[in-house]
Amino acid sequence: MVNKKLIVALLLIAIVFSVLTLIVSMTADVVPSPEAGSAEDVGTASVVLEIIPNNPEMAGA
Amino acid sequence: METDKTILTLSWLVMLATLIVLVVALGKFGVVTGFSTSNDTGDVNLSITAQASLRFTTSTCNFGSGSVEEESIYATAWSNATSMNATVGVGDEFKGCSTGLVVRNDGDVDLSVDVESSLTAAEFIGGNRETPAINVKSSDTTAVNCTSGGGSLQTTYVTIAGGVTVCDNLDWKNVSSEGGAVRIDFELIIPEDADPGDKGTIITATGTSI
Repeated sequence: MVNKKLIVALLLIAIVFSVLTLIVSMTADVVPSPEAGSAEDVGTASVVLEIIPNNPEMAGA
Repeated sequence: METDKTILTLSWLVMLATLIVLVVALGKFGVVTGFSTSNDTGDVNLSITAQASLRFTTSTCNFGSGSVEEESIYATAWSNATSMNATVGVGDEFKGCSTGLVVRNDGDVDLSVDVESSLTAAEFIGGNRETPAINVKSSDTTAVNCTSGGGSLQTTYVTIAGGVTVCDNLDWKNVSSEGGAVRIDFELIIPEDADPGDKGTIITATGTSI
């Protein structure tokens, strides 16, 4: 004779697995949504100079 | 007898749960029949997202050193000239920056490019005998460029104060492994009484996808 308690236990396990499968199916994405690309970017550069003191003699003044 | 009723109830619950799972799975993933054909077709989906990206390929504009004659009120230095205005300049005449700055679109979308300075002209250059100024203009510098993308350049010098659009459609299309580039030139108005010393300002280019 089949152990009826074993059958009940297996049925309970089947119910739990069914519920878990249901949850996974409902939350799964078939196609992942594409990520949005950046619409803006920045770059930096520099402008430099050196102002030297006036020197009339060196300038020929 | 009690156990038989329990088993029967649980069996119904299992069948009900299985049916619900089946309905949900079919709704999300479609019908899977198990049949196959020799000439079936399939879809491959690929999504490439637009990515705005730019970088300076020439990132320093060094005018070098110089001074303004006592007799002059100011000097004007240009990055696109080989010498400073000779009538007002002395020394090496701030002629070190002959290349300007070059900014390249290395993303995969056309960009509108704006530039601005971290310092005002008064903060960067200083002086009072003449109003100091940082002026900019732009030009095409590569085969793929602003005008090839249908955009407009800033072809005459204008003050950088408040930001300047140097190209409103910098092309990204790839013909030589790189995207379009635009050259940015500078005109500096240097008052005679500007404080001597090393001076620098950060130029920020912002590319916005269009």
